[in-house]
Amino acid sequence: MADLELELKQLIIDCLDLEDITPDDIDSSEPLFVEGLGLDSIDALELGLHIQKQYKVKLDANSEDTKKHFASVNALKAFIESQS
Amino acid sequence: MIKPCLLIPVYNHGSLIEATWETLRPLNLPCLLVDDGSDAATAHVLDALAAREPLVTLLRLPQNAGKGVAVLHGIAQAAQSGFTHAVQIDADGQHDARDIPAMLAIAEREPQALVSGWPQYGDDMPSARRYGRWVTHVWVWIETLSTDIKDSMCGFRVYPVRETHALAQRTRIGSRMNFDTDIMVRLYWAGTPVRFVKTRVRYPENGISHFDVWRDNVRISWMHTKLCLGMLLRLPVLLARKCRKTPAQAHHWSEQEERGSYLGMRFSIACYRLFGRRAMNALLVLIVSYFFLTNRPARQASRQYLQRLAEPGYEPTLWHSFRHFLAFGESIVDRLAVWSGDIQRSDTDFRSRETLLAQARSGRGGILLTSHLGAVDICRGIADETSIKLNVLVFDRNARQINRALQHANPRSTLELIPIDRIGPDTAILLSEKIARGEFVAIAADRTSPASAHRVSQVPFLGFPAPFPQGPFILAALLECPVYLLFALKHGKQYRISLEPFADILPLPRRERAVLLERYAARYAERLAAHCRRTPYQWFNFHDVWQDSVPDTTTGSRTGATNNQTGS
Repeated sequence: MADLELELKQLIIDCLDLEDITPDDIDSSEPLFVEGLGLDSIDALELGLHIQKQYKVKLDANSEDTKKHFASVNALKAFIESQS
Repeated sequence: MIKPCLLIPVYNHGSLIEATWETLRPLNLPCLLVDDGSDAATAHVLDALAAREPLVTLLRLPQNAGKGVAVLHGIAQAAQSGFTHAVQIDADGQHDARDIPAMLAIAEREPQALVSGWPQYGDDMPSARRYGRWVTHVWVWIETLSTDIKDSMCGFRVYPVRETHALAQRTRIGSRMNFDTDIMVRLYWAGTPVRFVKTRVRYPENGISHFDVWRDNVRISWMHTKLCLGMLLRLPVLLARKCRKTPAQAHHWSEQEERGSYLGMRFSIACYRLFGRRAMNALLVLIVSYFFLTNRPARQASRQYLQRLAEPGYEPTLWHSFRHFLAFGESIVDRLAVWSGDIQRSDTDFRSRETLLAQARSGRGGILLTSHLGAVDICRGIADETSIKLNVLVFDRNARQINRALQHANPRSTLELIPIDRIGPDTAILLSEKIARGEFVAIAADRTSPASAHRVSQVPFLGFPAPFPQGPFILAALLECPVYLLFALKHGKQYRISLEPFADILPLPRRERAVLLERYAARYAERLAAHCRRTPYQWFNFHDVWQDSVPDTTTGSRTGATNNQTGS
C-alpha cells in the first residue's frame, strides 16, 4: 500500500501548489498543519475538499475527533483505507 | 489590639430597645446610643436604660436628622473617646448579635477594613424588597466596577472609626435610607477593603420600618446617580486597583476572562429577562459612557471611520463618535433580545425571505457573506422561523462559551457556531456535506485573521486601501455554491434583513487566482461601503480597519510575495 502513501503526498503537493517540495520531502508521520509542513486553515479547506472529491470519503458529523484523520499522511492513508 | 464599641442609632424604637440590649449585654462592650430626636416615650426609655447600665452612653440629637447623621455623630464621639471600631447595629432586634464576635475577629486581623453583615434572609422577607435589593446590588457593582460588595444595604457592620470619621469630614454622606449604601461605596472608593460575614436577618413582627416609599426612593435614585458619576470620575483609580492582581490571580487571567465572558453573558441575559428592555437601555448609556471614556483606541477608530465616510468639508465630532458607540451598545441589547428569544416578527423586515427559501428548496444551500455592519445575530430569528439551518463561522475564540450560553437560553436553536481557529480539512468536508443538504454557511468577510495575516487582498474601502480576507471567497469558491451578501441593518426600530445575490458560483482558476480574489473583495467592499453610507452608525468594527500604521505595500507584492499559490 505504499502507492497510496505516495499518491497522497503528490495530491497534497498538487492541490496546494507547493512548488519547491517533492514527495520525498514529506515525512508520513509528521503533522501536516501548523508544525511539520506548516499548512494553514485555508490550505486545510482546499485539501479537505480535494480529498473528498478524489476518494469520496464520508465523515461522521457527530464525532468529536474527525480532525485526527488529517493529522499526517499516515493518518490520512489509514482513514481512506478504512472507508473502502 | 482593637478597641471596639457598639453604636445604636435610635428613632422611636422604644418598645424594642430593651430586648435588643439584652442580647448585646453579654458582649460586655461599651455602647453609644444615639437618640435621633425620638418621641417623648422613647426618650424616657433611653434615659432609664442609660441611667441603669454603666456600659451605655446616651447621645441625643435635638431633632430627627436621619440615620446617617445619627451614625456619623456616634462615629465622631467614638473617635473622640479613643475607640478604633464601632459596631453599628439596628435597635429593633433584626440583627443577630451572636455574629458580632466573628465580625470583630476579622476587624482584629484587618483593622483598616469595613466588616459588614451579609444578610441571609429567611422566608419572612417581603418579595418586593427582595427585588429592590437586587436592583441595588447591580447598581453598586457598576459604581464600584466590581462585585466585591456583596451587600450594601445591611445596617449591621463594624466601621473602622478613623477612616470613617475622616471620610465623613470631607464628604457629605446620604443621611437617611441612602446612608448604608452611600458610605460603603465611598469607603470602598477610598481604598477601604470591605469584608463580609454571613448573618441571619429577620423581620420582627413588631419591627418598625421608617422607609418612606416615595421620598426614600427618590433619595436612593439620586444617590445612585451621584455614585455613578462619582464612579466615572474615579475610573482611573478604580481601574488601577483592578489591575493590581496578586500573581496567583494574574496567572489564570485568560481562564478567568473566558469564564467571565460566559458568566457575563448569562448575567446579561438574566438581567434582560428580569428588568426588560427599558432598564437595559438606561444601564446601557452608563456602560457605553464608561467604554467611551476609557477606550481611546476604539474612539480613534470610530473617528477615523466617520471621517472617511463623511462628505468633504464635514468634520465629525466627538458627539458623532459617542452616537456610534451608543448604536453599538443598542445592538448588544438587541442581540440579548434575540438570544432570549424575545424578538417579534414585527421587529424584523425580512424582504428576501423568498430568495432564501427558494435557494433552500433547490436542495443546495449557499454561502452568506456577512460583515460587522449591523447585527447579523438578528438572522438567528429567521433561522428559527424558516427552520433553515445556519452554520456560522466565527473568529471568536470564546465560541464554545457562546454556544453554551446560546444553548442555555434556547435549547432548540437551529444555529451552530463553528470557531474558525479550529478549522481543518474535516471542517471543509462537513461544510460541503451541509451545503449539499440545503444548509447555509455564514462567514464575515470584513475581518482579517491574525492567524493568516498574508491571506489578504488590499482593496479600496471608503476611498482608502484596506486589507480584506481572502478566506471567505476561497471557501465560497471551493464549496461551489451560490453566494449571497447578508445584511441586517436597523432602520428606525426595525431590522431590515436583505440578501443580495453575489454570484451563482465563484470561479477561481489557479492561474488568475490573485486577480480574481482581489476583484471579489473589491466588489464586496464596495457594497459594504454603500450600506455604511446609509446606516453609518452601525459599523461595529472599532479597530483600525485600514491598518494605516502598516506601510502600504501594493496589492501585487503583498499577496504575491507571501501567497505561494499565486505564482503558477
